[in-house]
Amino acid sequence: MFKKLCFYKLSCLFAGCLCFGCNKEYLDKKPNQALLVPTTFADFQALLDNPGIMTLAPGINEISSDDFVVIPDYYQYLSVPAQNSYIWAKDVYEGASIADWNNPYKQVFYANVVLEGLAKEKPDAVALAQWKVLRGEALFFRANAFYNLAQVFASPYTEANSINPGVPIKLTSNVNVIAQRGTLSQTYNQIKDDLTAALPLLPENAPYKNRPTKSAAYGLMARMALNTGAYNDALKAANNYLNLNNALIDYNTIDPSGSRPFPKAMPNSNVEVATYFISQGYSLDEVAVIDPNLFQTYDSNDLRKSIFFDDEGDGLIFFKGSYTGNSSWFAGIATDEIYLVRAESYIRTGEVDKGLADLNTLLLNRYKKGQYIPYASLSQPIALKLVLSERRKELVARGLRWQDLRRLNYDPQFAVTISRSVNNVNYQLKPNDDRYVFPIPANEIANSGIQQNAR
Amino acid sequence: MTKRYILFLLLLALSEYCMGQRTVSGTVVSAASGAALPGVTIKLTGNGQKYFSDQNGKFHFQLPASSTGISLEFIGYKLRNIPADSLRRSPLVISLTEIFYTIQEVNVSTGYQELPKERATGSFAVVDQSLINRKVSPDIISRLQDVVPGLNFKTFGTSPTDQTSISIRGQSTIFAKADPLIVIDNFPFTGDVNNINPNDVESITVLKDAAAASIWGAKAGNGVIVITTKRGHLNQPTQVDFSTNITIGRKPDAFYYPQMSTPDYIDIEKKLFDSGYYNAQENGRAHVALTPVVELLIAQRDGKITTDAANNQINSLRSVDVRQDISKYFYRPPVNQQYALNVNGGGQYERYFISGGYDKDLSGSTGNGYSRATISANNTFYLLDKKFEVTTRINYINARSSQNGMTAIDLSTNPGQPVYPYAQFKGADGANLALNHNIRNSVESDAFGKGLLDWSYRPLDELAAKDNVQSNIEYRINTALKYKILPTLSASLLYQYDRALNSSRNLQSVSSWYTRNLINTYTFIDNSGLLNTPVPNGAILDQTETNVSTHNVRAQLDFSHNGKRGSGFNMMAGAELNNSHTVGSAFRFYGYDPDHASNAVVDYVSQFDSYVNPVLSNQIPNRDGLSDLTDRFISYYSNAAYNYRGKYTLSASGRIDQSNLFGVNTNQKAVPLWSAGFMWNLSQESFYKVDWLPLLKPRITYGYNGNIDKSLSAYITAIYQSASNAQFGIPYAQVTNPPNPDLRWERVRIINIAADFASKNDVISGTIEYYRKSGFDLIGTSPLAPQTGVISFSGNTANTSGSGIEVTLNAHILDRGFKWYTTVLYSHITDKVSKYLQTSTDVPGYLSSGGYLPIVGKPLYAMYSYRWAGLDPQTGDPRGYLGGIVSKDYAAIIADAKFDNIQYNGPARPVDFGSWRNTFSFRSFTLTATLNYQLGYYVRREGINYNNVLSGYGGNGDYSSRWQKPGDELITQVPSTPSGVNTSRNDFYIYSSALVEKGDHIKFQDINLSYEISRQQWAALPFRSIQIYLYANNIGMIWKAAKGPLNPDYLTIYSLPPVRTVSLGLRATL
Repeated sequence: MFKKLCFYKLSCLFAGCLCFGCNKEYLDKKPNQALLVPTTFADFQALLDNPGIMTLAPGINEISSDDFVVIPDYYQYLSVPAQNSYIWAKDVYEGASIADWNNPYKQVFYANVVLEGLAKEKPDAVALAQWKVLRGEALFFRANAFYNLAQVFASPYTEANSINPGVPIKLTSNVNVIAQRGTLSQTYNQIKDDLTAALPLLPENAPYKNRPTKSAAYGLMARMALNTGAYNDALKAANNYLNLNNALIDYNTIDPSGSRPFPKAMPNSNVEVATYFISQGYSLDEVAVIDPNLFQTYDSNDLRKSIFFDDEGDGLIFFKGSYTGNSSWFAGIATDEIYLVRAESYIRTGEVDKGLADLNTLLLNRYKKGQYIPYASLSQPIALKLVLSERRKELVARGLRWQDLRRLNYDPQFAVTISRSVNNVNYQLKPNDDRYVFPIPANEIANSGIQQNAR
Repeated sequence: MTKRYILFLLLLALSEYCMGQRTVSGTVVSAASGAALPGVTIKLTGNGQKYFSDQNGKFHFQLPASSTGISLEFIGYKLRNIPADSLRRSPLVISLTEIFYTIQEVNVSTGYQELPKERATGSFAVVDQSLINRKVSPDIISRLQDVVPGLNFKTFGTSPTDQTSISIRGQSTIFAKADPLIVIDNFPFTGDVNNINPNDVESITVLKDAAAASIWGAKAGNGVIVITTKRGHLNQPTQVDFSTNITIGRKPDAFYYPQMSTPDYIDIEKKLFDSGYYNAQENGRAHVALTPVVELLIAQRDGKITTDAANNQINSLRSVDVRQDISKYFYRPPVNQQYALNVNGGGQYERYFISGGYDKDLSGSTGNGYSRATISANNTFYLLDKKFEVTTRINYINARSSQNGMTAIDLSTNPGQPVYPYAQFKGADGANLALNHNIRNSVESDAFGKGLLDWSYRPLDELAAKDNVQSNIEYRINTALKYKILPTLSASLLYQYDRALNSSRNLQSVSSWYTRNLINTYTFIDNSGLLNTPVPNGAILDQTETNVSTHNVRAQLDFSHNGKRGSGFNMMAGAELNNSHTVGSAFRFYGYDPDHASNAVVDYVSQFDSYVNPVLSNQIPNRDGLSDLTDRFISYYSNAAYNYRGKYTLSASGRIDQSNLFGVNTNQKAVPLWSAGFMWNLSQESFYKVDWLPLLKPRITYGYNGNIDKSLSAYITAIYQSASNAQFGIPYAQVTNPPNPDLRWERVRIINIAADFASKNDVISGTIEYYRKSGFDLIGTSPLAPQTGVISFSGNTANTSGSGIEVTLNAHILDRGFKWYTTVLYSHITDKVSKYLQTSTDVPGYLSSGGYLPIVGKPLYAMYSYRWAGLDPQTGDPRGYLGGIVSKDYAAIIADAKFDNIQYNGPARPVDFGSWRNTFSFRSFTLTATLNYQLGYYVRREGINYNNVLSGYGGNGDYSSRWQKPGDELITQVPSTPSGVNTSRNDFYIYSSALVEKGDHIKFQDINLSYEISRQQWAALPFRSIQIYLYANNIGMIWKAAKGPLNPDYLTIYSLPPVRTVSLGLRATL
């Protein structure tokens, strides 16, 4: 009897054990609780909040620009790509993979993961609001990444260049799909489409400045329109931006003795910052000083001279005035830039006085109290020269100088030849040189076979 | 005739019985050898009276009428009961059967079944009690050294996540776990294997090929080590075993690694100072620490002290060597103590074993230590006419290790800059001296003046302030029920619950520099002039806890049928379920007050400017974190073997694993890992007529083992980073790998061909094995176009292949009164990467990373170097080859370097290795000694790094033999000092063939001398047996291919070879 019973029990246990096999749930347990298969809105937001990926803008272009000079002794401390970028070498990365290319595409990948995830959702009325915000954010991030890539790895946008190769427009997260470069106009059209689609979805305000808002989208539109010479569009976008947000920091309230004078942009202390981005770090903060000729152009009553720069009297003038409020260089969109976009657009479209008014509004907040003499009734060419000069002085270290060099070189009166000397070798970069377009990194070419830039 | 004799005996017995008491005398002998056994306990049942056999095994006593019989007890022999009726004849000859030694066959354990080694087709290696006991160590793993063919201890390419440094038959994985699976008492062991008490281990079986290991399926790819713990024996009188040993080692040699002399170091500092090298550091915002000599030179330049005073002070430092103080204050001779006690025994229906152990180790690095207490008990009951068997086991381990020794980081001038060689830790007045550490003295004293905490760093105070303890508590409860349904069929159900709690507690009091530095760095002076300390003024307490709980359930059916003439069939099949859940947490308390167990709240979100370098702003470091991991497996397995007349054995096994780590596809496909084997006992054939080789047994196996990479999952797409890591204070997510639903385990295919042989009387016996191993579906990275958002993708994309030979040779050279046995182990392993999608062209990156990037066609661990063309006779510059021509264009050489034009020296792990063990015994003395050898591999020595030298960091002792004048190139390969930092020249030299050496060497590993005496020899001994032994380990290098003083396996500045130790121990059985 016992024998039978025992056998029966054992068989039961045995069978029970096997039954676990049928229990799919048992094997569906996540191996690591911190792992997530992005499915919820919170997951999507968490992906877009990734600071190491979503807030980075290219930085290698700033090294090739003319605002900063590397201290000769410190040149050796620059990374190889940074050294090559500084001397406009033909081969910049020497085979290495480069974050300035990889990271914007990571942003595109994250944005696509979120967009695809959202497309699968059927939000109810309550969830719809958040669904819209997330979709708007993802579209903005994708547009911004393509825009940043185009400024470094594709030729400047002009009518004539529009059939030049653009940057690969990747619209799916599937890693097996390879996008070819298409044309420059396709690239810019995609950016425009994404921004246009994002605008109605984005909120006016966000609790954290890394999350895009309507202002951010108008700001990027304004920046892009100015860059492509679409001044009326720039004007429209800048107006929309400034209608939402036109507050400026009065630099008289900033203590210039601070090592990082501006209030921290994150989460939201800097009123001028519309969206938070930083440029890929190349230690320029430590090894490069402001170009002395540029420094000369700041008036002694100009507060930017002491707030932006750390002049310890040893002739080495370091930049300290990042809008981030820390050692990272701000590369996002801020109200001061939009004032300058509108001022330039007004001037270029013939409304010189309106343009000067914007310039005066900005500079009133930049000069010592009572020391600023507003500009009035200038000729268009002089006003344009003025606004471009103020643009360069205001937007130091924002990654914008490279874009301005590229677009202004097409205008002979503003075209410049940059030269520098390293280890007794002189280097020159002439206007519209092929080297105004960075090469595509070798590992991209090797694995996708897309077209390389001439350089 | 016989009948009549019996009748006579009966009559005799009857007559004696009537007398009431009678004399019984006789001799006790061993059943096996017939030798007399002295000291056997003879207990009279009834009155409990005890007698002992004398030196000749003879006994003599009066048996009272009340006694029903006698029982004979002797260590190592089966208890024997003899009823009084059988004691009629006198003198009697009573034979006792040996318990251990009569079992001629060695059993191998797979963790699922035990089978006689004779019938195993696969490659098993068994390490028995005597080999386990031969070595003295706190852990069990190190006792496997030199006794298992094919098993080696890795010295190159070890990963910090490796639980052991063991590799069995090389490495067949690239990124997945390279550790063998450790099985203890039937189930995989999830705790720290170093905490297993070796005194509780009965035997170890190492499973090497597919037939042996494939029963463990997806976990068997790196081999399996099956540990069987001790148990009591049926019908064995209670026995108490006690053992203890003490091990004393030599103090670690602080001077092992040759370094640049202090005068040379100071001369370079002076030269660098004159060239203005230190200006940037002196004036920089980071205010890094400058060495005392540089500070003196600055003071002299600034006119704060006279030139004479500066020179005098500097010259007084020339004779200092910091290693003397390091040796004096931070090293000590290591002392290990070990105690173990167990009680075991058994009756007819039960057996039991209870043990306790305690270890206490003081490491050679002052402040580091380890202690462990273990308790274990097991018990087996046999019920229902021995048809039903119930076994319970309980194990408890409590281990603590203190990590309070000084490390290289603790002794540095600045991060990455080693301590200056003229540092002193104690002044003439006995006060503890400060080291210039991380921050310049002037900043420190200025801060102190402003009311900040004392910022100075006194190494001896640090040593005293350290309080970092890790503790490990583990218990295991194990139950096994086995029921014999039929004589041929039994069913068993096993369950184990295992729980391990690992915790660490690092209290960094406010007297520690770490805490003072953190407080000071975040201190700022506000507008009202008040000091603000965002990091509160108090101790910092870091704690981590990891809690692992594992459930294992197994149900198994065993069928075994023994047919006629030695034929037999046995089969087992089962299912297994396991679930391992790990929950971890890490947290930090600032402003911790140990007296009141209170802490303070800090602001983790805001950025604070650094006091030292105000352009840097940082958040207060947050160490809080949580983890929650789950491993689940469901497995089905089966194993069958058929043996025909003891001549042919055919075996097969298979296993299906399903896991939450694999994707749905892999779980559904249910592809088994399987093996098959065949053994032919050739010497049993009637046509086999080789008299001198009475045993010859070829066998062959084929099959697959698996391996798992836990870092990947089919489902992973992203991982959450908690708010504490986020610079914006909001949690965020990071994509780790794109989804990979086809993820599966790695597979290793093994073909094993072997032969066991023995000559007449076992004078020479052994095994020769040849195997081929191929790794398939190994996890490898493959490149993707960055435009996809993913630069490299990890998946089942790589292959490896390898082969090897293992030889075990035992010889009984002398086998009389004086015995000399010898055992030679030889292993040969070659391996290569046969497929890897991410081709590397980055030679400099490969060389500087230590060479761990798979290169197709080469071993997984390969040594490459730049071709060396000697020193330039004119300048002493190193020379290499560029396009086949001798060149000094280092940048071009490095830029031009490809894997096919630089030198491939050879494998970086030993290709041939093994050991030679000799055992001599005479009467009660036994002496065993082991030599071991590692051959056929290459190592890279650290040479002089002129980048470091010219950064004032000092360097290798090679500096003194550098090229200084023409002609030196004939006697040295060490380049001259360059005029300035030249990274290309330096990198070329450091990774050139000039510094690659053969690693081949032969070591005298250890020697054990023991004296054992038992009651057999000396009846008055209060113990059944006692053994005293003396053991010496890491005795020394006998031969090595490379010149120079260093052990080829310990070539870097912070790795010291194991010290020579001597142990004295005692083992007694009551």
